[in-house]
Amino acid sequence: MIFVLILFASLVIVGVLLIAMGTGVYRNVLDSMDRNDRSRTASTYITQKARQNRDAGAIGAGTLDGFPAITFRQNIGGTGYTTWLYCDGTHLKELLARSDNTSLSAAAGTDILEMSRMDVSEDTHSLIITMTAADGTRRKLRLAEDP
Amino acid sequence: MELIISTAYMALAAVVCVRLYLYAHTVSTDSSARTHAITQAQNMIVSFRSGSGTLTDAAWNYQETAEKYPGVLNGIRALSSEPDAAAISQLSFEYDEDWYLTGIDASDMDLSGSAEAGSGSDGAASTGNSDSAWRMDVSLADSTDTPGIRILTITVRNTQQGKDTVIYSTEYDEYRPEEEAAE
Repeated sequence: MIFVLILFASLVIVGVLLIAMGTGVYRNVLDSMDRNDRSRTASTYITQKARQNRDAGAIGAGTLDGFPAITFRQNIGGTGYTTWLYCDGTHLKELLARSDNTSLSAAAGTDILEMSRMDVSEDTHSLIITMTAADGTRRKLRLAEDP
Repeated sequence: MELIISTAYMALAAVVCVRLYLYAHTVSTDSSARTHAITQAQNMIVSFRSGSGTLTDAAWNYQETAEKYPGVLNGIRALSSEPDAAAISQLSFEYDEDWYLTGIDASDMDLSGSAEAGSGSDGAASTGNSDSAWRMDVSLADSTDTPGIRILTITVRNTQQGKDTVIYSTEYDEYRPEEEAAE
């Protein structure tokens, strides 16, 4: 009888350990997928935006309300418009406005996804974008300015 | 007898569960590594496009995350200043576990002279790092079918713990006539 009880207890312990281990693995996998998805979504979004605006001189670097930004210039009906992609410290944001509008506020943009920082610098015919996620992980992305 | 069968059944179920957990962990790690590899390959392609069509120029434009290892930057500078720099057809970039660039290696060129200039105070060597976790091999060749087409082949490998596994490979073809490709 005691042997059966010990066996039962050991089976229960093994079961509980398996569940605990499974929970830990599941949490780790979810965290990893989440980090991966956020990073990939941000870089894919910016890359696709650049590909949509691949006209000569359309892509550049700028500053909106003190935040570094990627700018995409386009002409709609004879009027110049600029799409601003920037990070306000909490989110990657996007704002489309007339190019001659100089009183833009960072709060006016639409939230794209969570991000804590984005730096933009210009290099030879390309932009170097450094994205810092909310968890502090950094990723660099290089964008060609020319078509 | 039934106790033995139930114990064996439980043990089998436990082994299956543990294998599933390990598999999930491996898939997750591979997915993350592949995402990093694609980003690095994409950055290298843009660096190549931005330059004059040589690998040394691409390496100079690339400089990916090299600020952590100034020795690597100096190595790239030394590499770019070689008189026969345009002749380089293969470069390897080595990274640590966090995908920081830790070394650069040109297999078809003797870097022993430039390694001196390429070694920074941090001790990073411009001629490669045997402790690297990831490696990106970049090669440039002329197309045998169409004159003027240059083919940039990028292969990213997992070199952790003595492994040498390809995790991502891609090709970038660019039409660049000879006079434009010359530095």
